[in-house]
Amino acid sequence: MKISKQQAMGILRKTGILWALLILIIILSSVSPVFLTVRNFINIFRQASITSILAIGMTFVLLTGGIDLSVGSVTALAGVFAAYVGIADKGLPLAVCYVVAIGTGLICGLINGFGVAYIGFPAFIMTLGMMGIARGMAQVFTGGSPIFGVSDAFADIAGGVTFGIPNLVYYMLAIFVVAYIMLTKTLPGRRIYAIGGNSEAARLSGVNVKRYLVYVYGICGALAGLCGILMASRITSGNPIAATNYEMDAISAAVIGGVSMTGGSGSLLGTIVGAFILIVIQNGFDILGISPFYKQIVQGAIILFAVFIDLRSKKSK
Amino acid sequence: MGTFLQMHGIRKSFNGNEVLHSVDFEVQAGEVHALIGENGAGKSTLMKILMGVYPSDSGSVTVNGVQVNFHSPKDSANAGIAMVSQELCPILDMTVAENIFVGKEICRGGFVSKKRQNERAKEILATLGMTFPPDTLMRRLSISEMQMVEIAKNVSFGARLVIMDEPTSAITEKEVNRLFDVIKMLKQQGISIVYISHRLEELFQISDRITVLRDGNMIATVKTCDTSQDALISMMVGREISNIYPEATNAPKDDVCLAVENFSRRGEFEDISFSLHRGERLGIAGLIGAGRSELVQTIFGERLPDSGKLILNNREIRIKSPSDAIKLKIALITEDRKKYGLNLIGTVQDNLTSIIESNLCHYGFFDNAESIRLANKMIADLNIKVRSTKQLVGSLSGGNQQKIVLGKWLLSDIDIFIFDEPTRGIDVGAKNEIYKLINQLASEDKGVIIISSEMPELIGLSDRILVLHEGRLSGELAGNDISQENIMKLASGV
Repeated sequence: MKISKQQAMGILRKTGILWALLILIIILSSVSPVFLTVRNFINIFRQASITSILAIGMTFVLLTGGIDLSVGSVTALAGVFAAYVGIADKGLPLAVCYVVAIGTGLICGLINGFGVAYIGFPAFIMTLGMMGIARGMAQVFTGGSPIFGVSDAFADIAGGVTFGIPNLVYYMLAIFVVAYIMLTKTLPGRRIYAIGGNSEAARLSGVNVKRYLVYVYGICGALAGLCGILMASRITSGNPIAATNYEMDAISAAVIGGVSMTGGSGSLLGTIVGAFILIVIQNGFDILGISPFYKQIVQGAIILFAVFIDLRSKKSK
Repeated sequence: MGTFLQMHGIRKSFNGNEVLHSVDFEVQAGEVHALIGENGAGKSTLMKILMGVYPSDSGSVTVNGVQVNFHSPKDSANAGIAMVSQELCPILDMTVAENIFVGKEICRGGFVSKKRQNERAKEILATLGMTFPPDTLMRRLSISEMQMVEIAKNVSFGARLVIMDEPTSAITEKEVNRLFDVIKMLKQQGISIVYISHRLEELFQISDRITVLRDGNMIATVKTCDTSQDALISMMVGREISNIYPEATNAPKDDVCLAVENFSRRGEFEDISFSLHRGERLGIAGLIGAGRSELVQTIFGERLPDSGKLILNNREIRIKSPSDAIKLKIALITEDRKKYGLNLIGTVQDNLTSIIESNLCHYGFFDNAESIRLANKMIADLNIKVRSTKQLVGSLSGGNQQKIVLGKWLLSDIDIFIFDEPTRGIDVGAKNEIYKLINQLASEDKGVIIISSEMPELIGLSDRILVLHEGRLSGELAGNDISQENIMKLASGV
């Protein structure tokens, strides 16, 4: 098959972010023998799980042209609630913990969605408010100190290992597959892209835009709730300051992966690769013994670079 | 009078496709020179080269006998070339004077002097016969007045050649006449105008010469007095379009498909009643601001009426949202396709099947193959020029975009089509195809409502015309009573 230069450029542009990840892996492998080991890769996947799940929820919101700044705080709030009901002495079934965590996230998300769609708050403002409220509620509920004493079963949710792979990774893969199918193969997925592309045109084509926005923020919130229980399980406590700034990682992952901040374009595959780029850098820096402060600098630079490439390719069209 | 501008042998390629093939274009000082051609003929590329937005691949540009090489719009502005674009972008929350002096503020001791700007703006506006105060907020002006501000601003800063891109596409007949007076005034001052328009009849009122482009070639430059509309059309499309408004093939039926009774919405329209028959093409005429678009938007459920009722096929209905209207098989093809009709960053397929998406889902999964098949069918039926169903709609020409908007409604099962300015800003060939399509819909016994500010179009297309004046129904014309004069009389409330 002959491929023209233009087609080749197109393929390169679409998969560019994947190449960036590969190059990163090659560089880190060559400077550290520890990096390219099965153990470290399992570690990377574990580290990437929570960020990826949050980034998947964030991608839904970003695709509609919105943003959700509250996911980190909602994760913390859901986490402390989950840990509270998961205390060993209470002897409640694990299902209750899941329901409490995901329910907490879902409610926060639905409130965000309602505020954005029906009241008309800008997404940035609505979720900024929720960011403060959820974090504050987590602090008030715990009195500022973590909730300890969760049951072993609770700790196994995220801490356990099945077939040699951490449970967290299964959660990430399952969420990814479901979300990917939803976005690419179902009606709601197509509507989400249509709303982000031009919400007025979507509305005039018969799409109930407001209702979809509520759903989308609800999904993002529910995934943050799930991350809450996973997080609490992993650190075996409900910590009100857990997941601080995680919303920024989620947004960064999506943006690095090519999701447009104005909505309507981008893919979940890109988001996942974006999340892995962030985690691989962090992991590499840890292995090489570089201060985590540098990670922030590199992360900031990568975001600007990714968007710069995106802007250039749009201009050249 | 000498030659002010000479463009010679201009060539331009994008991604290896040559879109201008050695075009020559020349404008005399004090001349109104019309530039016409179908969408995609190369008019805007040629003008963008003149404005310094794109460099040309080869060829020369000479202004006042001096060869120039523009690298940016700033260069061309310094050489006295300015453009009033089709879509004006004023700063709505600033005053007229502030808009005029944006980037060239009059300062005193480091502070902007509003007083002096207002005085100066008043003088500038007066030169074109404009009387509104310079401290009016831009938001309060009509589109025509904004256009005048734009023209005044360019001329006052020394423009010797003003490019006007579709200046009459969004203004009323009366405002068109005022614009023409201003153009004549500029002409007397020796200022040249390049006038781009799809409305051929206007060119005979205002232009001295006409240059026709087709597919990137310069076909001819003719004196306006030596040519005719038919001759221009055949030069533009390269073939004869014998009758631009095709004859309807069958008469409207007797049964009413939609009746509107005592429809009112405060500040927009009042006590409107009319009925639409099966197979009828019902035109709605009126000046801008008469409430035409607001009326049809309310029928479509974009907003709720204060009072009145809708009767569809002899049954009273309530429409609370566009999705209600679509379920009842009513479509509104909106006037601003970019803003309200299309997802410009979506693909041709996404847009064409956006309304029927829910029917294309089986067990929750979207049937992509069927969607592509339907999209391809529409592309063939409507003769839409696209590379593939995956092409982004934003990269298509206006005529093809409009066909996509039509296509997405045609794919769904619609009984009543409401067209709001269906041919704004698209070329003659595409217009003709849309007219044929409207007639075809009527012949299939669909009800069609057409709003258009182009009177010949409305007259050529409609079986019956309702005229609105300031939100009220001022008359109804049918058969031989339909004429420009009668519509004008009713529309202006005389």
